[in-house]
Amino acid sequence: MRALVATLFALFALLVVWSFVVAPGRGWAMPENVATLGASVDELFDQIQWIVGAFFVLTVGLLAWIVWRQAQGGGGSRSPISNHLPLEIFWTLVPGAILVWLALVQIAPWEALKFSNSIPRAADGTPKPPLCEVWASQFDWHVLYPGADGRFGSVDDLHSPYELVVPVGEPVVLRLGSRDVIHSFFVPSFRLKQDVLPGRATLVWFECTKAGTYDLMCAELCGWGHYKMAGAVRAVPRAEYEAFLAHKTRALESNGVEDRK
Amino acid sequence: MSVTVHKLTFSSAWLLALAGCGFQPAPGELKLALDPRSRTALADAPGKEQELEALLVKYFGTREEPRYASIDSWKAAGVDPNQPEGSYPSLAASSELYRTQCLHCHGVEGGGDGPTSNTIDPKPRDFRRGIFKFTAVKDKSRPRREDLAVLLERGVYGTSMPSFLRLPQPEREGLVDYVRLLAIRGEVEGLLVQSWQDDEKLDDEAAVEALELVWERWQKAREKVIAFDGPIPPDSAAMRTRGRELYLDAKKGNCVACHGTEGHGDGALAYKTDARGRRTPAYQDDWGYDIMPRDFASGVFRGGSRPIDIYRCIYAGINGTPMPGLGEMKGPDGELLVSGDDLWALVHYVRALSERAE
Repeated sequence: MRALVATLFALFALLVVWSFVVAPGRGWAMPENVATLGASVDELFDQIQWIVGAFFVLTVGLLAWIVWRQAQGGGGSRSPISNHLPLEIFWTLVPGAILVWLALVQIAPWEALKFSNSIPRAADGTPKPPLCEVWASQFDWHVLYPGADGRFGSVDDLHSPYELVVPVGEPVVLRLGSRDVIHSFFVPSFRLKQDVLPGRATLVWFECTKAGTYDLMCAELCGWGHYKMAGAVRAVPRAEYEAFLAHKTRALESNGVEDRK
Repeated sequence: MSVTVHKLTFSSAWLLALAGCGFQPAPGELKLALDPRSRTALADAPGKEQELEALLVKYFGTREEPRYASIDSWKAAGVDPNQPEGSYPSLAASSELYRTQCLHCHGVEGGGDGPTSNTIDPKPRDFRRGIFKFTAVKDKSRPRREDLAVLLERGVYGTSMPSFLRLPQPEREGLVDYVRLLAIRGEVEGLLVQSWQDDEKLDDEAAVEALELVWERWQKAREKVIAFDGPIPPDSAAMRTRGRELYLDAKKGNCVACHGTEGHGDGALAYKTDARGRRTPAYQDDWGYDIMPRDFASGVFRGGSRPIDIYRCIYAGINGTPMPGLGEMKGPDGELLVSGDDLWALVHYVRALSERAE
C-alpha cells in the first residue's frame, strides 16, 4: 500500500512536469505574445514557474522517497526533528532570498508596463493622449473614440461596442473606466491586465506587433455574467484603422435612408 | 431582497440539479409555457388553459421544435416563415442557441423572466407583447428583423443587454428569427385570451385570425422606417439655441416637462409625491416598471447615440413608454408642432446636453 502511495506521489510530480513541458504545444499555455512588453512578462513568468516547479518536484519527490523508504521496512531514524536551528535558518533564508530576488527583478518590467512615466510620449515630449476610452460595465466592453475634435465626451465621439480597433506597430494608450463595479481589462495576447475601478480613469498602454484579432476579457469576478464579458481587440494596419474611423464617422452622419429597403 | 435572493438561489440550484442529473425531458414536455397572465385570465374557464396550450403548440411548435403552422393565406402568398431569412440553419437550431445565450435573462418563452432577470435593472424585455423600445420605425410598429439585429450588434448601452458581436452573424440572424417567433407567439397568445374573453372563441379560426393579424403587423414595419431625405442639417450654435427654445416651449417640444430644464431627467411631470412625501416616478412603462426619463448628461443613449438614432426617438417616441413622438404631432391649428430642421435642432440640443467637460 505504501509503495502504491509513494508511486502515486512520484507519478503526480511527473504528470505536473509533463503538463508544463507539453502545454505550449497543446495550446494549454498563454497564447502567442504579440506585444512589445509581453516578452518581459513571459520571462518573469518562466522564471517563477521554474522556481516553483523545482520546489514542487523537490517536495513531492521527498514525500515519495520518505513513503517509499518506510515501505521497504524502515531503516534510518524515525525520531521527530525538533529545534534544529541551522535547518530553520536554511528554510527561512532560502525562500526569503528568492522572494527578495523576485521583488528586484520584477521592478523593471513593472515600471515599463505600469508606471505613469512610462506612458509613451508624442513627438513633442508630452505623454501620448489616449487613443480611446474603454468603458466596462456589467457585462460588456464599450469603446469610445474621441472623433475629429480629439475630445472625449463630445458629440462627435464614435462608439464601438465590443470591438477595440487599434493600429498595429504603434504605441497605443487607453483610458479605462467602469460604469458600475470593479472589472479588469485583460488581453492575454498582450500580457496586459489592469483593474478598472468605478470613478477612476486608469491609463494603460501597449504596442501590438502583429495584426490580428485578440480576446479581451474581464479578469475580475464582476457578477453573474462575468464569464461572458468578452470583447475583441483588432489590431490593423494604420490605413485600415483610419478606414474604420471613417466608416464610424459616416454612420454618425447617417440620415437613415439606408434602412429603407 | 431576501425573497429575491431566495428565489435566485432556488432557481439556480434547480438548474444545477437538473444539469447534474443529465435531465432529459420526456417528449411532449417541451412545450413553451403559458404566460401567467393568460392563466389568470382563464382561471375560471376549466379546460381552456389546456386548449390554449394545444393551439399554441399547433401553431408554433415546441421549444425543441419550434415551427409555424402553415396557414392558407401564407400558402397563397408563397410565404414560409419556417425558412430562416438569415443563414442560420433552422428555427430548432436557433431555439437551442437562444437557450444558451438569451434564456437566462429573457426566459424560455421570452417573458423577460429568466433566472437572472431578478438581479438586473432595467429588467430584460418581455417579448410576448411584440413591443420593442428601440427601433427605426414609427407608428408604434413592430420591429423589423434589422432592428432586432442591430440590438444584437450594439447591445443596449447602459443596460445589462450586451453586444452579441462575439457570435458570428449567421448565429445572430438565427436568434432574430427565434425571438420573432417568441414575440409573435406571445402576441397570438394574448389575442386568443382576448378572443375567449370577448367572444368565448378559442379555436383554429381564432388562432389563424390572430396569427394573420400579428404577422401583418410585423410585415408592415418595413414601410415604417424613419429617415430624413437629404443630408442632416449640421450641428451649430444657432441650431442648439433653437433646440433649447423648442425643448423648453410647453407648446412645442415640451421636453422639459419630463427631462427637466437641464436634461437630467428630473422634470416635474415625471415624478409625483406619494402619501408619505416621497418622490416617486409618476409613470410606468407598458411592462409595469417605473419610468425614469433619460438623464442626457449621463452620455448614455440606450437606443444609440448617433443623430439619426435620437431623431428616430424624438420623431416616433419610444414604444412602450410615455415618451411621445413629435414627428407627426399636430397642434390645435392643424400644423405640425415641430418639423423639418426644428426636429434636428432638438436632436443637436439633446446631444449637446450629453457632452461632458474634459
